[in-house]
Amino acid sequence: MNLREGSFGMQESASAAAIAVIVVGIFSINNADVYARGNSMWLSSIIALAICSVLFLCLIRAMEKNRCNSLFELCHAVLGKVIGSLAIYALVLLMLLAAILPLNGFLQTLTRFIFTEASDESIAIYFLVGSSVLSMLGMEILARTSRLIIWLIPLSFIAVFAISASEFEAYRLYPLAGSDARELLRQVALSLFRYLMPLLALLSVSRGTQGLRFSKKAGLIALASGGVLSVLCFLAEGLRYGYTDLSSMSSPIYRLISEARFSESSFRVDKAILFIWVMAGILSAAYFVYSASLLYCKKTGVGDIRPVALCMSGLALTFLLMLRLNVGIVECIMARLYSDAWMVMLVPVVLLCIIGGAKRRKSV
Amino acid sequence: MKRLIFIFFMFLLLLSGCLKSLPIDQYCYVIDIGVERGERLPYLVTLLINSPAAGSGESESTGEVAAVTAEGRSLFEAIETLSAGMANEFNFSRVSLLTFSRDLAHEGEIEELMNIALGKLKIRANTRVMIVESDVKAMLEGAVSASDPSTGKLKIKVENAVLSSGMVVDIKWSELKEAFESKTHDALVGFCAVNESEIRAVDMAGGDEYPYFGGSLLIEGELKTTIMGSAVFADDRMVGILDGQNTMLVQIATGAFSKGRIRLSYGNGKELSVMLYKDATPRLSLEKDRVSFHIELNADIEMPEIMENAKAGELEALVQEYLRERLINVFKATRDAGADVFGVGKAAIKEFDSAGDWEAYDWKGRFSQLQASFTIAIRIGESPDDIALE
Repeated sequence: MNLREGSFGMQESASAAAIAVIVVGIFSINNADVYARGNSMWLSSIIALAICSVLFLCLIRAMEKNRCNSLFELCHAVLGKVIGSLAIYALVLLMLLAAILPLNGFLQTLTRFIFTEASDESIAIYFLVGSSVLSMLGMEILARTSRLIIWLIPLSFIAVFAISASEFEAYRLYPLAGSDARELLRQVALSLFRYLMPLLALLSVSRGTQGLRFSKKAGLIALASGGVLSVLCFLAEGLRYGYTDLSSMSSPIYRLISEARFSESSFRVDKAILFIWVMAGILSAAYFVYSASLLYCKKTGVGDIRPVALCMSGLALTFLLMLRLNVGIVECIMARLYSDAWMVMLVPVVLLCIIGGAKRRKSV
Repeated sequence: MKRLIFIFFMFLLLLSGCLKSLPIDQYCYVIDIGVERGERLPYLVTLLINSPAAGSGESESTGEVAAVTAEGRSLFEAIETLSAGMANEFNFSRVSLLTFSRDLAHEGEIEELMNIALGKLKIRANTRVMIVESDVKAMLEGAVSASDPSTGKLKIKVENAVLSSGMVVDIKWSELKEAFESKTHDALVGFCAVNESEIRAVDMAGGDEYPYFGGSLLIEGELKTTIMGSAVFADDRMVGILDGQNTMLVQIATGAFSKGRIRLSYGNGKELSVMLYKDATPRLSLEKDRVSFHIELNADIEMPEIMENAKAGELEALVQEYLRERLINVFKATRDAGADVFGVGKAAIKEFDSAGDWEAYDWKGRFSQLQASFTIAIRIGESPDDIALE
């Protein structure tokens, strides 16, 4: 078997998961949808993060109780062969979705602001190379690479906040709750997908983390650090732009720094910061592609993860390009997935938590 | 084996096809865009381009820039027409100024013109916007000088003038769009004109005898175009003009002010020149039918010898009363025109729990009935008393 799960420490796994939380949390938003009825992103994110941490701890508990080292083993142990298989295939698709959504955001930013004359395909090829090579090299290299660049990411966001802070105004956050309770709940549900998927990916690769105890710690650190950064980003966006602006805007976080006033130096820093974010985006995509490939290989018995990772990368990027090229059926599917992915994710997760938490695997 | 795989992936890059790159000298970079009413077609579009004029449209070379114009039924049609007569391809990624004629602004056409153009032409959202009295092309050409052919230095100067005088407004397209779409405030947009042009209207709040407007300043400088004062918008329509001094007063009340000079008269026809500095962010409190502004300023009397017998308290009271009266004047004039340039809506939105309720609320109806009061605290830094002691 050549699944390239490797062996890496808590810092590496926390870094990989934190980058995924930040990237998916911030860059996979559909602004036209989430800001159409007010701005409750920062509030819904806080609530979603709290729920995600509870679900994550329940999953860890279920894995401990059933003596499972990974999400794959837990699905089979708790849900059985048929439902477990369905759950695994659903998770594979959801992980590919989690890889695609932020790349869509980056592609939009790069073609709108940087490479204005380039086509989507000519930029997407670099995403393909980055995500496929990294995912084929395996989780150990992915995790160690994440550990190398992790500190650049919060520093880049701190630079964005510092440069744009002079234009923040509190009135733009109002009305504070956004729309009504129903809309807030809907935003919380959408946010659950963004914050829980990186943790599910972490649990999928947890065999390499040297024990569930480290996976648990890494997951909580990733959720807390990535979550706090996401919430700060949404607050910064909300303080700089009103919800009417945000709903018609692409890449508000990039525009925070590219539109800063009275600062000559900021016009040079924005592209460097975007470069850091794109690096994080490619790492995050590779992370999800690897996790999806690992689950698929374990389910189907494929011995070598590399061709599967290459295919999964190609599949993800093809879907991304079809979305960008406004292929009708793809747009419909994506719209459906975007609004309902959280449900597809929550069903197996809740089942695993409830059944797994109650059931104890019989010792052989 | 690894080498082979690596080479294979490198070849993948060749599958990307043509990246459509053009050398820099094959682009014609547009610096400024001006739109006004055309003679035969609805719009006359002027582009200030960063290359010697080479088109079949009207153009006139001024150093390294040229102004080219074309009429069209839309902004895109005019640009396409111009493109047909150019050797190079237009690139709008460096546009730093959008100017619109007063007529277009009065008719509320700016938002519609720009909403589509911005994305399609890849114009940056932080491009500054100005309103021009009459001839846009003459204004753009008048802003070019031998020492600053690309008008880059002029734009930096405008940014600095906002901070140093308060009589100029520097607004970006993204900020103007926010004012158009939100109900929380209305916009002041920088006003400019060629200095020989005739100003058709007067300050809507009744300004100074000396017209502190772009285009009517009594100067003869390097540039033919002057920038001062502001165009007042109510929602997406221009409703009037404020001169430089009244513009400064609005910026004092909204906190956008840093420092600026006022002149006020007192007994015996004499005039006092006072340099004002922002001391604290102004506070605004909104009640049902009244809005109260609390403003704190530092002041330096620039001609203390005039007030030989005056005490510091008298000077403060004089400046406070002058500012209070003028602020009330400007507030009433803009309120009656339906323009919330003082940003009272920013306080009103905080009264609502949901965006739907705020959007359904008739804020402008309530705003039109509001009375304003201004409490101004002045601290004079140099006073005749201090100088007398020295």
